[in-house]
Amino acid sequence: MKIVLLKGTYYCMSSIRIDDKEFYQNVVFQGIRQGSFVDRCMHKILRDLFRYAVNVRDEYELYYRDEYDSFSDFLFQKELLGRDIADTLGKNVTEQLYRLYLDLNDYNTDNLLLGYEDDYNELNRINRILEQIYEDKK
Amino acid sequence: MKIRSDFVTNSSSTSFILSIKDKFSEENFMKAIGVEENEDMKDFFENLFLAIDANKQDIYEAMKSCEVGYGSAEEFLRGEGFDEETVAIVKRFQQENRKVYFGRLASDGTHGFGMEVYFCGESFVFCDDEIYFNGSNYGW
Repeated sequence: MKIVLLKGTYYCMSSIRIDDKEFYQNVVFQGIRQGSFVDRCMHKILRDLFRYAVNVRDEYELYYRDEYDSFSDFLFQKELLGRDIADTLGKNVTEQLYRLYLDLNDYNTDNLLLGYEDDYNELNRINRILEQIYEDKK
Repeated sequence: MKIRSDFVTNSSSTSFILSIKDKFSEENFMKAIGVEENEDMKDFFENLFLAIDANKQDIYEAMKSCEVGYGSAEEFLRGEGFDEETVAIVKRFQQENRKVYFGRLASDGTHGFGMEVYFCGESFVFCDDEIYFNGSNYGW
């Protein structure tokens, strides 16, 4: 489970469904006291990261299957991802690909927490935390 | 140095009131906010601790250093725009001899990145047995 920034858009690659209320309700952060400041803060960040996420493969299957030859082509031509990235993601059938809408959900998460490009410390930390959640949900 | 690419807005800042049950230290702060055994979370929130540590003042010191010349911590808090509920809570802490800190977090501050910047734009009040953390008085 990992968030990546591709051509200015955040995507999440995940082998568990994140567009599911159950996903948020049952998240337990390891080594964090339940109900604490950090616990509540991280639940809010998690909601703001994934609220309104669109499963891109589902979108392709539902609306664009006839229009594009393959999911890879859809990613390349419609999502405007690079050819190599589109091919890699398109062939990955073990993970779902979600398009995230951070800019609609929370200004702080999008612009303030992740809006710096000289390094990806905060995104890397969030990804490590997501990995822990994924390990718990597996 | 952190560099913003993309659209850059004006800076934001928030005043905060903080009181933790035990003496203020990184270990006690992390314990108070709920980080027990998680190094990634500790890293994530360490920036918030550093920003608070650098910008906090005892509420009486903050009151005295204010040019307006407030006569009490309650007046000072009202002057800073905090509501009566907050004033009453701080008064109770003072009666219990609990240390109360006042400070500001800013998106262009020394530690102006990561969680400090995140909380600059959030309005929040959190209170449990370990910590009282009020960042309801924020502005863009």
